Amino acid sequence: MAISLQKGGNVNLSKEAPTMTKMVVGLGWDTRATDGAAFDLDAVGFVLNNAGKVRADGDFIFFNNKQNAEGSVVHGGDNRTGAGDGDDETIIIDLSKMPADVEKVAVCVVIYDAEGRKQNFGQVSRAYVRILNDANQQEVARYDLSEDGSTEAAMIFGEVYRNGSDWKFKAVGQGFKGGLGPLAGSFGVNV
Amino acid sequence: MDMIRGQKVKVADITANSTHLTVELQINAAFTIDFSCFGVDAAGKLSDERYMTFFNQPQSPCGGVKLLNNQSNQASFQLALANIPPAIEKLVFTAAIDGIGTMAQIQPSTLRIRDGQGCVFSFSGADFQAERALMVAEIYRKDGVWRLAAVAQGFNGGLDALVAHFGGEVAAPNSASNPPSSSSSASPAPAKPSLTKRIQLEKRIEQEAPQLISLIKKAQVSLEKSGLGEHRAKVCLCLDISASMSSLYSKGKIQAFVERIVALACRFDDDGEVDVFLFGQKCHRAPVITLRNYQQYIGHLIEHFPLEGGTEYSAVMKMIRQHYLGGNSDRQSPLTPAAESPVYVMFLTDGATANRKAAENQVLYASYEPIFWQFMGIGPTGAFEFLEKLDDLRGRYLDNADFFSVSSPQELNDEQLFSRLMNEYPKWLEQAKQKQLLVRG
Repeated sequence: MAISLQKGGNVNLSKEAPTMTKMVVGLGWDTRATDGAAFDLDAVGFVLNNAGKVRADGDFIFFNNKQNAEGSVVHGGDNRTGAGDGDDETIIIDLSKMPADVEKVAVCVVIYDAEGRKQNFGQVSRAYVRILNDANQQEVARYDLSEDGSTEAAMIFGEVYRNGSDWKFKAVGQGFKGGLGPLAGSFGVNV
Repeated sequence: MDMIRGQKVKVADITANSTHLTVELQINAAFTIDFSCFGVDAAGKLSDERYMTFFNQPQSPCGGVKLLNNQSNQASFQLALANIPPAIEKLVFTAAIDGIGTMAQIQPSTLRIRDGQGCVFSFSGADFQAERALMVAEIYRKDGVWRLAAVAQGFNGGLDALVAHFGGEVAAPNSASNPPSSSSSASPAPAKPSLTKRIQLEKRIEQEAPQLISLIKKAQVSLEKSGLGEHRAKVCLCLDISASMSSLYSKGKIQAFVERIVALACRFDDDGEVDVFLFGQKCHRAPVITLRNYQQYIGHLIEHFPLEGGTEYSAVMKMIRQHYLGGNSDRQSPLTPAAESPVYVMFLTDGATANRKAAENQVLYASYEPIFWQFMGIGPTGAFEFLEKLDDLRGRYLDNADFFSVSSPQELNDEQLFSRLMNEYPKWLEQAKQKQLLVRG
């Protein structure tokens, strides 16, 4: 059952979907119908330790680094315009391969070159980010970027985090000013 | 509240919960801007053309959108959101450049709502490049709540591209009516209402023929009374150039009549043009009457086509049928496929034809085709026994003709003339649809 999340919402994945081992983050949006630079949204993941920082630069998952060392977080590839039906970019989080020193995975969405192109999510049609249980394709949570992230160009969607033997998903829905570099920097990546 | 491009807010938050508000647009620039509000459906399309609110249609059918204070660089839209019907999901406020220029050249401009706390959305040329038409902002329903989005995105293709984005027909290059390739199933060129063509025609009337405006309004009133307010048809004028018409031409009576026909054509035809055919002893195709040439039309016509010593209807009728349908056979079965739109022929004469049988046959064969013949006799009553008979001709697929006579074209005032011209045409339209000469809808 999909839950449309506002900020701070919290879903216990193990309870919601006890058999789940893989989460899929799906990012989607419509191609630009008006004239001007294309909207290029990027799904980004950060594999974090208990200090909230990446263990190594390889834990910064994006279009130029498609998986971490253990292969527990994998990026499906870059979509630069939103062309195509369904999710335009995906990140697969395999909980069964997650090493013990990983406490959480932060999932973010960034507009490529937002400052240069003067773009924000509000300008994009039907931009959303969601997280699904890969086993049954059921949507666990979704965030409407076009509506609720309208003035932002980068957004921390949520965190998949360990809670004892359970995994939970916390919806964050928090805008971030400054683009991909500063975002990565805030998670301890050497940019 | 100052808004930035992309931002979305609830209307109630700006207007202190009121659903009555006025959206004021001001675009400062050297060129003229046309402002419109498109009321679109859930698919973002203008499925009901009446919901395009602009200078020539300043109020939506529901009264929820009214264009006030429309000038070359500013306009206000007064909204009553509670009136907007459920089918309309979004109101898009647009601006299109009239003439040369791009939105990159505009000075600081605003969209403003003053009701309640109000808001201002500022934008300028720095936000654009080659766009010639913009969606400035949208007021839309989401989960039953009205919201406002500051958009300021647009199209290099200008008004055409904007209309196409909303699913409207884009103006095709103006093609002269070419006879279709000879095939017995050819049908008249389709005349689906084209939104941009319509808008362009209205502008051209304002600029090139403003003196026609009040006449066109009279035509519109008359057409609406007959339920033909949105009707589209090709308009054809068939003129008698027999010698006896001489004084009518020289006294300007035919020219005055032409202006009334042009006014009708400006409602029926998105090009506002009238095709012209002439008959005396022979038949001829004459130049098209347009907004540009109508005022001197008859003067030039008579110079070019000397009057003839005879009156023959059948040849010109064959010529007209050939022109619009690509054929003029001795038809005895309905023309297929059904045509998108009909031809309305105004047939003006001052006397009977030499070969009555041939003329009767033409009316008979043409009854299987999507052409309506409006005969008008000019002259003393009693001189038109033949034309009166033509009106009642039996054996036709349906009644495709109407006749009336006047002692001079000025005998009837404008309202009376338009009303008389629509005396039987609406009935014929219904029948033609029922009998599948015309498509429904």
